[in-house]
Amino acid sequence: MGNQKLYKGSLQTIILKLLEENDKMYGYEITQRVKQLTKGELNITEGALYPALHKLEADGLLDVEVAKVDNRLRKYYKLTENGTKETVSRLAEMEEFLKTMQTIVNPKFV
Amino acid sequence: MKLTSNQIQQLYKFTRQHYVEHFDVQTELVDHLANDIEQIWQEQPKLSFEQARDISFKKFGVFGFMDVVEARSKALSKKYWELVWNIFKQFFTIPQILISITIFLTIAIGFDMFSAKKVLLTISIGVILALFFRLYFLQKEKKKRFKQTQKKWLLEEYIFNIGGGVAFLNLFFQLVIYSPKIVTTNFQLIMSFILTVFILLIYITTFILPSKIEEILRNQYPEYKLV
Repeated sequence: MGNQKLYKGSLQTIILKLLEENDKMYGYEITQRVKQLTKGELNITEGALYPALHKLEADGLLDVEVAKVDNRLRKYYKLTENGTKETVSRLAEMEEFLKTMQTIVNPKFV
Repeated sequence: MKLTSNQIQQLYKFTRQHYVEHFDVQTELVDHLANDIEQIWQEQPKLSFEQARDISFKKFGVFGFMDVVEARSKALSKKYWELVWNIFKQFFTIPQILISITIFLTIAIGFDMFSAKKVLLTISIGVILALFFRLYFLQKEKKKRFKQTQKKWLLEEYIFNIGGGVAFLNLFFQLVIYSPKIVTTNFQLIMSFILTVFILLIYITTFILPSKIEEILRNQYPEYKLV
């Protein structure tokens, strides 16, 4: 398992990116998808995921839907119009960040 | 293996035992725990419900559900003040601006006719009494609603507690204690404006929002009509 601290600042971008690809997702599904995509390298903790989701919702980037699944209520998150725009800009920022890091960590590579 | 309805109810109880009071927050946590327990059972089918639940709960870390509750409270506090702000803005558009102008002029004329101390004391005592009575009524109403529905919603709590706006009380107490006797015209105008803003905010938080509680909860919580 990698250094979780390094991923921490990117959690919101990761959530936005997943929702961009999946229309709507619920909390547990997000943790599992990330685990699956990163082959267990990144493990989003419950104590970090929900605060990030609630913050994005409060900022108007996510909207919620609730459905009865099995015998319980499930809360789905999806991108709002603003959220879709924000995802594009956050992903661009992320790419820029990765490039910058690459120039520092591995200058020959660039 | 799927969880039974009875086990779901036990999970609700479990979240309550771990200081999650509000149904909206409980619901999200219950679904999360339920999904995780079902996942744990796939890997370790011999574990009991309680054992799997405890493994899942441990993943929330040493503070348990507190981080989630805190983040939710922050998010809904922001939502609450957004609701207040949206109504407040309307008091500066036609026709409600007439109400704002009337309050402003009444205070400004009051400053002109009586001593500043008298005006400030009258307004402060009036506001303090109104706030006390209204808060008392809202707390009674809150208890009644909870008794009927057996569910507390976080935003509902904010509305009944006027978003922590009890701080308004302190502000008017300070005015009673420190109200000056003689003031300049500029002070009168600025004070009239500030008092108008506070009176409007108090009116919005103690009267308008509580009267719209059903509509607000329906809009905020998609699950509100499902339970």
